[in-house]
Amino acid sequence: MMSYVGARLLQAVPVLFLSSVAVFLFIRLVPGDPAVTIAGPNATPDQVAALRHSYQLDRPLAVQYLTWLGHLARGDLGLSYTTRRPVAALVAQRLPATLHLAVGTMVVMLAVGGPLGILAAVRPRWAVSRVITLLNALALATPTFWLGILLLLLFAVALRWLPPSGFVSVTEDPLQSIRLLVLPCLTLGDSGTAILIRFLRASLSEVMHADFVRTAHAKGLRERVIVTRHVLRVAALPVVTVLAVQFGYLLGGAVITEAVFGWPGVGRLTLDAIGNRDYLIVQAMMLFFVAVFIAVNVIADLCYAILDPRIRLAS
Amino acid sequence: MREACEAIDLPFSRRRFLRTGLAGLALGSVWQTLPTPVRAAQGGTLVATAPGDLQFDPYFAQTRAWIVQGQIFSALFDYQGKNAFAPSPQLAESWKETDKTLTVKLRKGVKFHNGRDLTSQDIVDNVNRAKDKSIGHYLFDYFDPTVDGAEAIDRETVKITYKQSYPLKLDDLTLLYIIPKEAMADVATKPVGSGPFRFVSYAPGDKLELERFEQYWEKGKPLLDRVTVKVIADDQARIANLLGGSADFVDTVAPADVIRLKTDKRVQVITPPPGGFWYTNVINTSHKPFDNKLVRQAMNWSVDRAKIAKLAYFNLAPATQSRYLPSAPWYNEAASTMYKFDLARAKALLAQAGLPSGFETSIMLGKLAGSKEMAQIWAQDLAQIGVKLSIIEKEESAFWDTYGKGEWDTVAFGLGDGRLDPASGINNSSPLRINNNRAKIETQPFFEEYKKLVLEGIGTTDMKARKRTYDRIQTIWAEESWIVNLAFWVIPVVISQRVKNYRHPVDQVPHFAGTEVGS
Repeated sequence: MMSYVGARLLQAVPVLFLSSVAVFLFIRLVPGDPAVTIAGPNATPDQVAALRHSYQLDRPLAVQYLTWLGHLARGDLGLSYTTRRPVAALVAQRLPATLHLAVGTMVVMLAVGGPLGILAAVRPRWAVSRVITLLNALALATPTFWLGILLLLLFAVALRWLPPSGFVSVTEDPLQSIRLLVLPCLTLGDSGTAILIRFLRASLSEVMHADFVRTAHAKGLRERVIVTRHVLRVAALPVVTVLAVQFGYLLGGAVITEAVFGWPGVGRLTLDAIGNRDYLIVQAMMLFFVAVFIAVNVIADLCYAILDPRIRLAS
Repeated sequence: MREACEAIDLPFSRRRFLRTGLAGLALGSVWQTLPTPVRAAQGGTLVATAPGDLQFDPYFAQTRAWIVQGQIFSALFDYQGKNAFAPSPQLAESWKETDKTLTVKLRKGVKFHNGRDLTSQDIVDNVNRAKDKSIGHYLFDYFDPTVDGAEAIDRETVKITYKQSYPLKLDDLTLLYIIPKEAMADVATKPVGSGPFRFVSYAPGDKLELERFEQYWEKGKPLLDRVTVKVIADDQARIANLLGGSADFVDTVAPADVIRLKTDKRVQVITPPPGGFWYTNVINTSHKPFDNKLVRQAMNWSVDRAKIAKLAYFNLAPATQSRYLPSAPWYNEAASTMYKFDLARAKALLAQAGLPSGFETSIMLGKLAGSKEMAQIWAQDLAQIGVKLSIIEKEESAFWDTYGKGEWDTVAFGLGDGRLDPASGINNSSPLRINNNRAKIETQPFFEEYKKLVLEGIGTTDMKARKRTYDRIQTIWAEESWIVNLAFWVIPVVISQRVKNYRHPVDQVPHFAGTEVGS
């Protein structure tokens, strides 16, 4: 297993390198100039040129890229053009909030999507399963920004049960942290839960008709035991992939949810940086996202091996 | 030399001009001030909101710095005095002004947040920083072309020398927020000033915490213990925070939301006096067929300002052709009433310009609220005279990039710098100024006369002569029509009912020194 992980990490190096080149070039192809954005509408060409010079944006692209890469190798991500703060510090400052949101949303997805997905698969003809299917379609079709504002208006403005915005670390004030997490996690978990239910139901339904399940029934095992001990283990494989991808997306930031709930996560940081053409932040964040997806995929592969011993990772 | 803060010895001085003309304007304006409480209540936290990450260096003219500037920093002058339109002394105690010099005596007992006393050398340091091109800030354009230098006469007196006779000395100094030299290097991350609140912490994307500066120079102020600025990107979420009691102050509210909130008893809508900003369509005079002034005039005749003010700006922005209110001393009535909505006249002008069937053109829009609706209304009217107006929307960075490159026909703009002196309004407006003009007016026959007038206007403090000059300039604006003014851009803020004693100044920079919050 260690050799597998080592091999995957080695494979990640060229992926990260190519991603860095692509991100570096693509963000510069987008119309816009950080110096123009910072200098403002009335800036003269001289002012813009002065800013470009101070940010070293007037140097050839290859030189800019190699300089950035050199700094990156030393762990220096540079200074943000707009805030003049170290990019590494900005990213590090935003990561805890994103991690809270990602974990909270995964909890919502698993707590709600897990049982409902199993129920819909095991008892497809029950009325409640039909309601789950209907709500599932509704949840998938609901736009995040709309749901977020709706929850905000209902629970924070009208009922005043929950705070409308902000972030507090769970280590600082656990209760307030959870209160602040509820609305964004419900908003963000809406579509993720629906996807989880759909995959779980499809996967379980398929496995429920497998030979080994029929055998288990023939042996006289109770259905609960069959589902929990045998079916779920096999049906979980595609679900693990879905969860891994969802978790990767969540760590990549949830821009709309963060905007609605004033959540200081990496999604807003990235979006603002793209808007301001703050290249160094964009480059750092894109590399971070790539690294997150590589890591999440490796973890998912490891989970496969644990769930199904027939899968041999090293091979 | 005349003592600006004492008796006026000129028959028609700038200050008298402002006092007589603009005081009436201030009284007659729609400036809403909250009832003054009998006794100021000290303490409490005011929670303001900001749509994006904040910037702390006050030398960079971005709206996200506005909420910070008035709290952390102080300038020699500001717009917080009784006359909303004239600079009032802040760090300045008194001043003497000649055509080419300004000598300012500093207020005593002013301290920076780091505990050091303010001295005249600090003003010199900041003037020098303002003239430093390498930083790339916008103040360079204000101070370098005009200021020759500054010197500390004694510990409390500073003398600023100008390159030529200059009428905007005090106006420009309202923008120069004083940073102690030892804090300049880190001002973007650890701002230090002499304002009523001092920086405590900032979590990017989350919130800024400020606390009362106990040694603030204005006795008895600030009244608040703390000011928190929460970063909430979504417009509706900011309003929801206000309605839900989690925020007290929201600016950059869209006109449609302002209308809705005006009837909500949980909040107060505070409107600044109009006159500092305008909704304007700028025409690129280097693009055909707009190089022909008849076509530009046709565009001006085709604008239904009343309909736009009603439907696009929800009657919050009074329609205008002029940059000045009728009550303002600079107002030129003939130039300001030259056009009305008349499509037949517009069509006749197009025919005269050799375009009887019209032409195709475009208008570029940024994120200015109401501009899309404005463009749609204008496009409908223009279609009736054969002009096909395409609407091009761009996100902010691409908008400014395209604007800077001149790759546009017409652009919808919010113009102005919150200052009423025409010289300031022209110098600080990229489509109106004479250098690096973005509407490319240097390609037009009128440019030489316009340039001469602009230099005359900024080169004298004789107010009678300036009035004549700006009357002619306004006539050129109207006749040449590269600037199609639509309405006064009034930018209200919405505050919670518990906030007392807040007024929103004409330059849009909030000051919470005298503001209090109830329970």
